Amino acid sequence: MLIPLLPMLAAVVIVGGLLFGVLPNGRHENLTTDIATGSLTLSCLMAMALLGGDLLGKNHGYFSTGQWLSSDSLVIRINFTTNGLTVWLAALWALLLAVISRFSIPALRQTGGLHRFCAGLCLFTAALMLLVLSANMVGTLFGWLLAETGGYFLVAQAYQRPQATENATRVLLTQRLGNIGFLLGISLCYAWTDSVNWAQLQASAPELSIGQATGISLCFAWAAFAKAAQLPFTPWLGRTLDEPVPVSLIMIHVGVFLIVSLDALFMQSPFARAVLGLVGFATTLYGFIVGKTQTTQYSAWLFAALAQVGLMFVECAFGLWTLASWHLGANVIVACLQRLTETDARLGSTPPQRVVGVRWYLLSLQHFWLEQITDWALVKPVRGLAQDLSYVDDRIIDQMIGLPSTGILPIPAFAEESHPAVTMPIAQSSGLAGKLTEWLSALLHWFEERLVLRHSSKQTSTYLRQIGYIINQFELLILRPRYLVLFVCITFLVAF
Amino acid sequence: MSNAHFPILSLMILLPIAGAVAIGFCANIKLVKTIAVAAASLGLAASLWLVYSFNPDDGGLQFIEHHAWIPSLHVEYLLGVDGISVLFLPLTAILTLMSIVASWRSPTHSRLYFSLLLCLEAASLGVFSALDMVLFFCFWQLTLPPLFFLTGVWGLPALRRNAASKAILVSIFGSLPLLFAIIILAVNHAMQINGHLPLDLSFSFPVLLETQLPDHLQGIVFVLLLIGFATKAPLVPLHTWLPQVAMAGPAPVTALLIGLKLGIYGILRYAMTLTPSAAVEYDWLLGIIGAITLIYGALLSLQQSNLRRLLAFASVSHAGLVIIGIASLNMQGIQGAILQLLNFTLIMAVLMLVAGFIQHRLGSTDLHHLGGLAQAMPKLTGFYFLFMLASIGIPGGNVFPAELLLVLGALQAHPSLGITALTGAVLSTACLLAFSRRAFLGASTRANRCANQDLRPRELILLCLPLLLMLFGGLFPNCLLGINQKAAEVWLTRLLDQPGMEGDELASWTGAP
Repeated sequence: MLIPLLPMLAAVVIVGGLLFGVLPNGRHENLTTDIATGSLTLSCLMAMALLGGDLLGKNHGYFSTGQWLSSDSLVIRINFTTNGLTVWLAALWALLLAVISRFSIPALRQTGGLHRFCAGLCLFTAALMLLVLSANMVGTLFGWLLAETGGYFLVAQAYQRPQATENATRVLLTQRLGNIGFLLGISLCYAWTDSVNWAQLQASAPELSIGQATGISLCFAWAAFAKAAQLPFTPWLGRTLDEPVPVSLIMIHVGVFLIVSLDALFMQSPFARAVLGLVGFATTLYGFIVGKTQTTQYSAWLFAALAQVGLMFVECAFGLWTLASWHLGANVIVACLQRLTETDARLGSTPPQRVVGVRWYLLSLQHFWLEQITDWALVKPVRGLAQDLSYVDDRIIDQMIGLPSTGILPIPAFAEESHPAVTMPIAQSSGLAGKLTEWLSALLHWFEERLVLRHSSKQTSTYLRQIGYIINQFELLILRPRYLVLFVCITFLVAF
Repeated sequence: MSNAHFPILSLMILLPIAGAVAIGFCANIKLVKTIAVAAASLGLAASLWLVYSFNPDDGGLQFIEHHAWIPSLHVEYLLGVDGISVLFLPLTAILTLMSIVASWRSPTHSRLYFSLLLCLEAASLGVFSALDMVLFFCFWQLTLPPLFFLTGVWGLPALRRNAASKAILVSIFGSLPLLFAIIILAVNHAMQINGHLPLDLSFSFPVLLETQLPDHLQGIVFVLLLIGFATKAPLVPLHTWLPQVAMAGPAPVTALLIGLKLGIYGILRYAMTLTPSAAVEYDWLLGIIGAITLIYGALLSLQQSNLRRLLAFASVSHAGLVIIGIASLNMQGIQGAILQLLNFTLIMAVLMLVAGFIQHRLGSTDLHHLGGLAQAMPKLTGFYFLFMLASIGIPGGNVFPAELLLVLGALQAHPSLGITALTGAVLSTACLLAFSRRAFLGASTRANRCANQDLRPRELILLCLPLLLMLFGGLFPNCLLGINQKAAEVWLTRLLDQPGMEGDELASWTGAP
């Protein structure tokens, strides 16, 4: 338990110091460095001791310290696994992060923001240890989410630059999309195995039907794809190049760890393994092609590591779990050490077209337009929908309720096309009841004035034309792609 | 039910009122503030003692205080709490204390302001502890005048008149169906026992729980109560007053308003339990309303350029999430909903206070005037980010266990609602992160000019209290869940264990094979 707890305590102490002004920027940096490196080193030593105990056969395999949450039959304990792959990976990653802290802290002294960096690194380490060692899914999710947060702060280390903060936001949001799969997986596990422990899921895997196993597997695969930057989540990886230490390189291997630790479950579902293989293969190709056309050393290594991670997914798809585990360990060491020991530099002037061909070259330069496609398919429609809803809220619902807010209202997507409303209030009123009365009065007045007293007139046809115009506008609006997609989604949700 | 030996609930309601009266006789504003803090602190101490004395193994009502009030109509002064309501009392006391302390330095706040804050606390405590429907309605209505004057007198001059009027009008609009539903329930009681009107009317909540409500009336009463409480929750489309008040009202008042989720409490406490058949039958309606509110609020948050308005819409969105949890009709859903009500509202209230600090320093919380605040106000930014991250469900914060339970409960009951909840969570994250990035990070703009205006010691101490509560709720959620476990079981049993409910229908809700 101390393995994740020590770095967590270090992070808490440093953040507390920052919040209360005890650790102002540029001062007491030695103290912060000592706290961070000391906790990371101790954590690493304890992880090594745990690994030693496992090699000597001294570990019991399971350790529990109590209950964290319980509701009905859902019981979540604070429990840890103390043998097998998890212990190996915990020791490896703890060692790598301790080394990273030693390498990077001197450089950070010159660029500033050392306190924040140390806090972020300690938080990331604690999260990673918790993620790896936890014996239940919620504990792993705990670490999973905290690792994202630690990564967010590290990517946004140079927060004065807008690009750095935008990158960090994009990275975190992409990974949050993957968390949907993780939570769905937990929910399905709880529904079908009545437990949220990894060991229970693995033990119950042979008893699950293929459909159930496929459902759970695909949910966790979705989460793993997002974390491992597999297609279509790949763009976030390219945005982490400015982070001061290669935590993203470690992060992409976490996705593979999740898949490898669910080997029994995936063996039950050929379809889920096929998906793993296809996505892994596609990502490998992507990483290979894009990596070939990178102009800097760091970015080339980053995409090379991504291609390797894709290969690991392919290995998992073929059931080569041990190979994937060894591949994971070896690749994370090589990738991190490359990044730490070499400085970034521009690559040689070999014409990239000769390596991949002109068409692929053009595609790879734009990273296959993945980010633009995501923006077009997801971000733009959501923003458009938000803009339209904002218009509806300000101009229709707020007005309908009465006493609308004053101030600058956002410009709606279809404002330029709309005509100003033709209203002739009989009396001024506020509130729903008041407005209803006013409208009823105006409607009756209009009916009497235009249809009863004047019969058919030019004014009547004008009104009818206006109504027709409004209906046409409404039809045009709901035929926009985002609304069609929304209606389809709602239909699926209702059917589900 | 267990009767109180000591009228602790009455004392809790009377303490703020006594403070408000004492302030009325005091001319020195410093003394006024001291009295206000003392009264709020005593109220908080009393509420903590109440929680300490509360027996979590008893799923029924405790600390009952029973006195006749209007004997001819059988209206009683009946107070009591159970596991569902007991934690809302200390939450109310904490939020009021924080609001008073946050208002400390404002030169415009007079003694009337602090008196009204205490009156609002008393009325809110009354809402959470009243067990007679008329008494409940009285407290419900008594929350309106303080709110009206606090917003209308001390709000932003250009907006306050409209905002205060609108909040009051919408609340009164909601009160009418509420009153109508209460009358139907009371008359139904008289008819069920073949009694005479008005002698056999009953407004007692425990008595009404035992009274059979005919099926044709259940739907009507449920819808009336739902409309009545939806105005205060607030749920779409009756939400428009909240963003307006958030923009116009003083930040401490808005924080209190966002923190006190009286409407959702009403749905949970009264709408669901008094009409159990209708609640189960129209559960889909509740779920859809919750889903629409969740997504609608989250999408509108994306469009906001003002922090206070954004927080108001985020609050609306999370009200929808809580409604989804209630509509799940399982233990995870209901416990998650209660936990979310307690935890998220605390976080939102604190974020609103932080917005107030920014408003006080820069004169605006609009993005056009913000940017790069982290360089000028590192402590304030640090606290803001801690609470913001907690609000999006980062582990360690108190929202994480609540959202986890809510989502698990919703996915078990209605997968589509669960997926909607997850989508809403991603949208909430997007809007809060995007706003925070532009307001706090990046190159500093106007904030540079007030670099010496970071948090003051009093403000730091003020923010430490919710910070500790946030960490406690996140790391030890069982302490809170243990208090409402039995009451939630009783609540759920009442809804699902009805004589007319078929076995397979019950099994579909409980998830049994």
